[in-house]
Amino acid sequence: MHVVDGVLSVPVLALGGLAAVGGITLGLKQVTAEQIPRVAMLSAASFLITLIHIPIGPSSVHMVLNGIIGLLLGWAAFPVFLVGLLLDAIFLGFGGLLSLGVNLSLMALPAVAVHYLFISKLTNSQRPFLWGAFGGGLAIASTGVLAALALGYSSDAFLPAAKVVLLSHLPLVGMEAFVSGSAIALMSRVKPELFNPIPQPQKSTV
Amino acid sequence: MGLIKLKDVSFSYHPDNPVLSGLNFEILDRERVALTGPNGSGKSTILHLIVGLLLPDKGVIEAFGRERKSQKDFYEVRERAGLLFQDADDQLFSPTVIEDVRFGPLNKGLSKTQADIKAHEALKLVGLLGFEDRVAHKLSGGEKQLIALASVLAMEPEVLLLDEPTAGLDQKAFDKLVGVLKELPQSMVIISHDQTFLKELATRTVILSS
Amino acid sequence: MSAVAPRVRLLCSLIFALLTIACSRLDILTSLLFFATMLAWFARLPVIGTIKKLLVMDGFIMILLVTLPFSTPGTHWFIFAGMEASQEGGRHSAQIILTANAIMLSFLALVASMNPSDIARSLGELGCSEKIVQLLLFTIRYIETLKREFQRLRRAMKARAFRPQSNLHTWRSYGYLTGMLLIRSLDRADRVLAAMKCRGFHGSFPATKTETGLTIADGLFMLWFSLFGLTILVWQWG
Repeated sequence: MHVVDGVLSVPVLALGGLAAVGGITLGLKQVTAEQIPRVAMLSAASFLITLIHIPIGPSSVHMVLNGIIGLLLGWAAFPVFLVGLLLDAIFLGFGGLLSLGVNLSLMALPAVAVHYLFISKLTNSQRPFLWGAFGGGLAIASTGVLAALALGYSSDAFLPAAKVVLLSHLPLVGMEAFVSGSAIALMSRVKPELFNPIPQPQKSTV
Repeated sequence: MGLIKLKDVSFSYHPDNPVLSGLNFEILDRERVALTGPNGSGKSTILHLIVGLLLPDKGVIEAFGRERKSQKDFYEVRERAGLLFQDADDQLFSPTVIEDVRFGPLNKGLSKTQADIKAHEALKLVGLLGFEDRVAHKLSGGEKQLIALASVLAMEPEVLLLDEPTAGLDQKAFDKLVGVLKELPQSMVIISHDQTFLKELATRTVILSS
Repeated sequence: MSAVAPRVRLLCSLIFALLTIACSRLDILTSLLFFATMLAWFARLPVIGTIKKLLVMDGFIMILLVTLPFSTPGTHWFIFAGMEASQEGGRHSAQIILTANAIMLSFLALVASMNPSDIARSLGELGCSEKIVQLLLFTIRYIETLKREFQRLRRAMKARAFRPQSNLHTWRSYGYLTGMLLIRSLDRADRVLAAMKCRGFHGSFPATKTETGLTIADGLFMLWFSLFGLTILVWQWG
């Protein structure tokens, strides 16, 4: 998410910041020094993927794919998106500084939730597409809802804009669900051992 | 005397598809062994077994006079046998060249000053003094390969394990690498499909069949 | 500007952001934006590229800026398509656009103009967790490498006449592209870790902190920055 500075109210910023700090702390606990290359590589890859713009009707949107990262990593999605948002700000000038916590929580909280809801379903599943699509769709939909809530709670005057944010997420939900489903289907076919909280380096990949 | 010895080693990534079975292989002091064979015959696997990145299903690995079994046993082997990876990008992970080259010496427990000295010596060996503050991922393919070699040499290994070191190099970079390797005193195991390269360097050839 | 230590610049950028968000008067916010523009000029930011970045960011809040005058009750301003806009709403829009641009511009000038790995290291110097610093350094290092891999995959798609459209085929293909890139990234990570282990890495990074003291340039910059900050504070609340 790219909510800029100057929009959100102080309580919303504080709440987002707290959630972000908590999430990052929990996430980092799961990442050992040996896993840093894996987590960093996923950060780099997801940053690149969000640069793709996909046409939807007359316009185009970029993918978020927080569902996939959530499914792969659980709480470690927090540091991954933190790195992604920092790079967004550094390279592209997107987002805000003080709203970083809120933006991070908007993306990472749904990712973590999706992880705990679907990961057990996904392990050895015959229908990885289905669970990937559920996860991907739910994650981006929740991000949209949370973004609308963050705006709505900051000021009543933001309500119309919040509704637009919510509506504009609808087509995104379908797209993200389908893209996530396909990605997860491919990954579980090529590397079925991936869907652990943080995959350990496998014998066969060294 | 044999520096490294693989005795009756078997290994498979998947149980129904063995890569190596009953392999015997030895590296002697001051020799440069060429390791050739078709893709999938287990050449890289042998190098990874020597430094303990993979553990054999069966058989014995002896290195520097001792049998090596556990991960801890291999810590010492990795300091004395330097493995150069096929893709230099896998090896160079630091922001700048100097940080990469001194990573190994620092892990060995050297102080930063000592590590810097080793790093400079290694850069001198590959002829890239002055590259210290360059950004690793902005180097040319040939430079990357030489820096990766320097990052291995900085650990002062007794044996070099080279996994297709000339893959993707142009003629100039190729010549430079051959020149550097020829001057090195270490024993080497070299995986390569390049006959001219092997002719220049190898003292013995081992052919693996699938 | 490049004489100023990265961690000082990072800290100043954060202070500037806090200062800006605390202010509500439009004249002060305009001065802050002017100050940020000055910083951008000192940092020799490319004019066109920087304006483009800011416009993209403004695009994200366009809807908000346009709806605010109509959704805020207050003094009559103008009527558009039967809806009444309020002056208070217009003021709020102006406040948001000034705040967002001033903060982002100062960030681009003070922080984003630095070498990315210096930014990562200075985060560590300011007390950020070592793991975050390592993560950032690794990510920055491998973005280019993965980008090449990514471009190879995309080029291979294009070479087989793939054109993105709004249909399921496009989405599925992008899904496979994503999945493939993630798998290759993880394979790459495993090879990198293996290479690190070969050079004696057993689970902890060697400490190489080289914290240098602050220079006179750093001191002068901070002094100048604090004076400016104090002026703003007095102006807003004095």
